[in-house]
Parts: sequence; C-alpha cells; structure tokens
Amino acid sequence: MTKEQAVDFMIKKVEEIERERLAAHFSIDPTKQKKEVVDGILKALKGVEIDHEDQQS
Amino acid sequence: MELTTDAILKGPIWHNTLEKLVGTVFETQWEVYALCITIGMMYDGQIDTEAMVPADYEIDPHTVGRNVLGKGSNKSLLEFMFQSALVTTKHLELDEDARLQLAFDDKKKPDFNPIGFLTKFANFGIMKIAEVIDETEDVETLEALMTFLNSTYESGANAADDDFLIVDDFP
Amino acid sequence: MKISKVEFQNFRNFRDHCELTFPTDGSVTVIYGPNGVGKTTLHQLFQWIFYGEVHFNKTASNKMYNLDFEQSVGFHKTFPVLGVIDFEHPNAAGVVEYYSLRREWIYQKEQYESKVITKKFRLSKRIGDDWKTVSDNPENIIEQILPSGLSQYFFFDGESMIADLNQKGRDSAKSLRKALYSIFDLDIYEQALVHIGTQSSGTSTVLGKLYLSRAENSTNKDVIIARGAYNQSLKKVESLEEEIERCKNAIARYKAEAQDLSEKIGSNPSQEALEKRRKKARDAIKTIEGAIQREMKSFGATVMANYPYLLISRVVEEAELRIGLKVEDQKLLPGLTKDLVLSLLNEHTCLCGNPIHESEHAELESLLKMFPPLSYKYIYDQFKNSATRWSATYDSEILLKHLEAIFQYRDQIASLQQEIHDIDEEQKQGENVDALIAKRAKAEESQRYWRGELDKFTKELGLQEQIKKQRKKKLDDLLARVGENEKLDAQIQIIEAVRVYYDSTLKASAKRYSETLRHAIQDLLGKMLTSTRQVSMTEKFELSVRDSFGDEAKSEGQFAVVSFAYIGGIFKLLGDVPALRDKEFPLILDGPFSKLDVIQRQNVIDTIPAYAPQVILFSKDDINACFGEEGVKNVWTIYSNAERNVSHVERGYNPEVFSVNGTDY
Repeated sequence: MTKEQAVDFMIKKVEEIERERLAAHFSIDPTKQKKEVVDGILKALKGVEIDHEDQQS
Repeated sequence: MELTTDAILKGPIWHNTLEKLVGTVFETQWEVYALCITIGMMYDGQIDTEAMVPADYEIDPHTVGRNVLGKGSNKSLLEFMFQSALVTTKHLELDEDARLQLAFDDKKKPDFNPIGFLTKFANFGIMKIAEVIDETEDVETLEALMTFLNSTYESGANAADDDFLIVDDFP
Repeated sequence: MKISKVEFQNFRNFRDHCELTFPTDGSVTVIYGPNGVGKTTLHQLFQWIFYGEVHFNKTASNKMYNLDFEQSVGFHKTFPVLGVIDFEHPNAAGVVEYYSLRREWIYQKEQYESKVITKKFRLSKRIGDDWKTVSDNPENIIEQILPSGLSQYFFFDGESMIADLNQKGRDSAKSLRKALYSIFDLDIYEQALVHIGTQSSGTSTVLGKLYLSRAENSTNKDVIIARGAYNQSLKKVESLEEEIERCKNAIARYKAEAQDLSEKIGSNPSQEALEKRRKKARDAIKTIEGAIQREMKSFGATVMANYPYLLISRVVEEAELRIGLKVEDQKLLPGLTKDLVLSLLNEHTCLCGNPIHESEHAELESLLKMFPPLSYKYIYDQFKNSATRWSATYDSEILLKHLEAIFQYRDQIASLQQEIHDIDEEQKQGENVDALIAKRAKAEESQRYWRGELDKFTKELGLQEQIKKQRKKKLDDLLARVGENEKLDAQIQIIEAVRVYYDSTLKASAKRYSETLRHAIQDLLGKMLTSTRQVSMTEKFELSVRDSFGDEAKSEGQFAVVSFAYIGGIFKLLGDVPALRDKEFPLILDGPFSKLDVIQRQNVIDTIPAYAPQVILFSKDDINACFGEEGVKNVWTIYSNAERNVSHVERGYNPEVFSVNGTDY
C-alpha cells in the first residue's frame, strides 16, 4: 500500500487497539497495559507493507 | 390563752420527720408543729406525748419554745386552733356551753395545759405526715404532701373514718 | 429519557416508604428542603439508583440505611435499602417505552455494623399491563441511556461548583475535560498520543522503540557507542521521571493528609473548649439546683399560708357533724349587738315605731342569752363566720405550680447532665487536638521534604534531558550518515503522521467544544446578569468570567449565576454533539438560589426550563413566585424530625417552612 494508505490504516488500527484497551481486554496493571498497547501497535505496523517507491518519500 | 410551757416534740417520728422537712420544705419546727395540729384536728386524733417514745429511745426531744409560740402571728394562729379544737373535739367531756365559754371567755382558764392539749393533736398529725412521706425524696415528698393535704381537706369529716393509726406502729 | 417516578425506602434519612412523581411534559418540578433535612441525600438517591454510587462529604455517615430503621431490626435479621426509578425512553423508532429500574441492597444486622450481603439491580420494561425483566445487570444499558461520565451534569450540584469557582474552577475543568473526552472518544486519541510518544521518549512508546530499533540494527562502531550512550541517558531520564512521579504522589498524599487533619482540627473542639463547656454546664446545674431548693421552700410557705386555716375552717364548718354542736340552730342577725338587745328589752316600742309585743319580748330575752356572760353563742357565730371564710379560698392547684416548676428544673438538669456526658464522650473519643496538630505538622514537613526531592530530581532531569538530547542528536547524525533501515524510517514516518493526525484532531475538537461551551455560557449569562461579563474558556475547559475592566468575578452571587449558566451551557453542548443529538437527558439540579439577588433569581428561573427536556430542581429557598402567578405546579417538600435523622417527603408547596426562626432555611 501507499504511505497515505498505510497512515490511514494505522490511524484506524491504533484506534481499534485503544478501544480494546478501554474495554478492559488488556492487563489491569497500567505498565503492562501500556507495553501491550505499544507492542500491539508495533505488531500492526510490522504487518504493513509499503510500496518501495513510497518508502523513499 | 396562756402559754405556760414549750411544745415538746418527742420520739423518733418527730425527729426523723423534722430532719426531713425543716430547712428543705419548711423554715422552722413551729411551721411543722402548727400544720400537724391542724391535721390532728381534722382527724380529731390525739396521741399522748409519752406514747410517741419507744423504750430505750435516747435522742433528745425537739422543742418549739414559748417565745416562738408567743410571737405575734404564731400566737394568733395558736389561739385560733385552740378555740377551734375546743368547740369541735370529742376529746373533751364538756357540754356545749362549757366549750363555748372555755373557748371565748378570756377570763376562763382551762384546767389543762393548752399547749399540751394541742401537742396531742400535733402528735397525731406528724404520724399521718410521716406515713405519707416515708420513702420519698425531694419533689416526691412535696407531691405526697400536696396530695395528702388536699385529700384531707376535701374528705372533711370523712377523714375521721380513715384507718385509725395504731400508736404502736413506729418506723 | 424522562423520569416519571422515584420510589424509595430506608435510604439514609428516609426511613419510611416514599414515592415522588414527576411530569414528563416539560414542566419543572421543585423539591423544597432546608439544610439538613435530606435534600442532598434525595438528590444523591437518583445517582445511587442509576449507578450504585453516592458522593457524600467527608463528615457524612457512609451507611446507606436509616439508622432508626436499623435499630428496629433484630440481630442477624436482614433488611433492604430500596430505590426505584420509573422512566420513559424512546426506542430506535422514536416510540416512547416505559421502564422501571430497581436497585436493592440487602443488609444483615451484625453486632457492630450491618453489612451488605446481596445487591440487586434490575431493569424491567412495561409490555401491555405487565412488567418484563429486561436485565438483571443493566449497567451497560444505563450507560447508553445516561452515561456515567456525565452523571455529575445530569445530577448537578450548584454549591460544589461555586466552591470550585472560588479556586479558579480547576476541578470543574478537569472533570468536564474527562467527561467530554470520554463521551466524544477523545480520550482514545489522548491515550494513543501517550502510547505513540516521540522518538526521544524511550522504549515505553511506539516512536521511541522504533527510533531505538534503528540504532540497534546498525553494526557501525560509532553508532553502537552512540546508541549505548543514548540508551544510558534514556534509562537515566526514565528513572528520574519515575522518581519525580513518586515525589508528586508523596506530595499529593501528604497534602491530602494535612488537609484532612486540618478539617478534623477545625471541627474538633480543643480540650480547653470542651472543659469550658463542661464547666458552664456544671455551673448551670448548680444554679438550677439552687432554684429547686428555693422552690421547695416556696412550697412550704404556700402550705403554711393556706392549709392550717383551710383545715381549721373545715373543722369548724363541720362542728355540728363532729360533736353535734347545736349553735347553728340559733343565729344572730348580722349587726345585732348585746347593747341593742338590752335597750329594746327596756322599751315598749321598736326603733321602727311599732310596739314590741309579748312574743317579741320573749324572743329578745332568748337572744340576750346568746351573749356573755350567759352564753358565748354570739361570739361563736362571729368566730365561725371568720373561720369558714377561708374555705372560699381553697384552690386545689395552688401547690401544683411549685411542683411543675421543680419538674421543669429537673428536666433542665437532665439535659445539662446529658450534655456533660456527651462532652465526656467527646473528650474520650475525639483525638487530642494537640496530637492532630503535631500530625499535621509532620505531614507538612514531609511535604516540604518531598518538594525538595522533587526540585532536586526535576533539576537533574533537566540536565539529563539536555544530555539525552545531545546524545540523540549525535546518534541521529550518525544514523543519517550510515543510511541503514529504510523500512524503519518509513515506519517512523507513518507513525509520526498518525501522531500528527491524533494531535491535530484532539486540539481541534477541544477547541471546538470549549468554544461552543463558552458561547453557550456567555449567551446564558447575558440573560441572567444585569451587568456585562466576558466569559473565556481555555481548551482545557478552564472557565473565567471578567468584567469590562478585566477583573475576574469574585463574589459568590456571581459564581452562583455562573454555575447555572455552566450547567445550561453543558446541556446545550451535549445537544449539539451529533452522537448525542437525539438523546434526551434529564437535569436534576440542586441550585444555589439563596446566593442570587431577586433579579438574578428571576432571570435564572426564566432560562432553566429550556436547559433540558425535563428539569427537577432542589431548593432550600422559596422560588415559587418566580414561576408566575400560579407558581410551580409540581412541588414536593421534604420534612424532617427534630433530630434530623428521619425525613419524609410530601406533595405540595408549604410557605410556612420558609419562616425564619433563627434556623437556616
């Protein structure tokens, strides 16, 4: 996908992860919770394949 | 009326009742004495002074002195009581005219001691009072006195029908 | 939603079963209640039924049941605290449906304190003539209908708002921000920003981790050294941030402790004050005991002034009964003297001119015999008249007044003895004020210590941040030269873009909502106040109101008006939000009407009905006249017993409850 599409995708993904956190699907411990959210976002980001040309821009 | 003696108030009933009432309800022993005379007259009851003292009783009697008895308004009340007693008591064997003369002729002297005569009524009166205020304190004593005095007045001559106090019943 | 009825029993002040109904046609309901009768309790009842929570001040008991009711319950027996709200709510198609929400807590009476053993919460819906259970755990449903994040606005306490406005409105701003962010999902963006972080925010954030990953993947020696140094800085900064957080928490804890102790000290009379009260009570008892003694002697004096004479008079009256005295048979005419009788006996003609006959002569002879020295019957007659005159004065209650006075004195002594007992208990139970003062001093000392630590760590953090910044710059330069990890760079760019999106959205939303609210409050204030005031509101929802010279409002009266405008503004804001536009929320408002002047009060009441589709007002002041000639149609009044621990509510307006009696209505 293009960078713009990747940004849109990640905006939605981050929102999704945050909502899951609010719905208490994550750890109760705030430090652990934060780590889980950050790891979740990074995991989602890892799955994003950006078109090679867009990587340069 | 000639005051020849003090009023002698003998026995434990006088002692205990005066201790309870004088200084708290009544100012002086004279007041209690006078009230008791009228109560005794109401019931027309008399008790001899010696009968008020049980054997082996050692406490000195109380007295109401002649000087107190002879004081102004006290003397008027005493005379009034004496006259009333003379014309109403069964305890004198005198006919009507003799009673009236004894009561109202200043020159006629009784052949008995007026104070001793009245004290016998007072002895009866103090027994009645002791009976009603026994085991009471403070305001309860006043309540008992008030009820007793009012019912005595209101019963009138019927008061004489009350259960007669047996002199031997010492507290 | 609109509330049609609230029903309750055994809820704090309200021991007995009670039911209040409310119109759902838009007309305002007023519930009157002076301070202390249970107005705040009733206001809180609604929140207890909806959310299972109450927010009473620190000095209030935390027991939900009525203490009088609890006392009547046997040991180990159970008893309920009950609240029910019936309400109307339209379905998705806009058709009004009827619901009943019931909350019941079952307590069991124990030796020291009754405990909750069961909590029930049920939502039922009316289907035809029946009620069907919708849910036995309707929290989520209620959250949809009446979001708990906004509960403090649906059930608004104007007095608390005034207190906060006196402190620059910080707490209100914080609460509002939290509530609005929750309702509009802005808290999601806010948290997302925290989690995304920045490239220099260390391994706890997305960007921080991505940045470090760039450095970690490199094999360049310089990069490795620079990365090591940077990591060290990061750790140092993180550790300092943790220390700072610890200091802030400690400061907040000790501050709260000091405040709490100050409140206790303020409300706790010193030992000296208690002793003074005790001595005063003791002295009063002594005085009254003296009065009793005097009254007893007065009794004796009254006896002596009356009863000897009364008793004698009765004795004399009954002389005939007692001894058969016959004097009664013969009575002299009043005024007839012995001299007059003697002179008549020597005459043949009476004073009136008529002759004195034989029979009359004989009668005169017999009258003479009543006089001394032959008889004292005449004197007895006189004596008896004077003796029996006393009977007319008899009053069986003459002594009673002395007894009544003594009983009253005794009651006064009993009250004073109770007061002394209470003082003794207070002295025993209350903590010594000196000890409290010492504790507070210690808490303040701790605060100072932790502030010192905070300063120290903050200074060091500043230093370490600079070092970190420098080391990051060095690493950035090295990484730029090295040019590895294009993928990571791209990822960083994406997340940076996401961060910018959330940040700008959040800022724009905060600006939009704060401006909308400011505008709504300004509009309402303009209608309520007679003077011009400028309303401003930050993007953090901090409110200030200034006059034309730029001076901030300081008076409680102005704050009171602002509090009304504030809640009106919030409801307007909620109505403008797309997600909430079709929802109807009731407003149950405990309003500080007493702090408004007459014109302000009328202006405020003129605007109130428009705030929400249903408005229920709590007031300790008579605002009936502000609703026109006919007054408020729907009125309830709270009444309480003298001890203010058992209250009930009755329908109707009762102007007598507002009569000033030295008490605060």
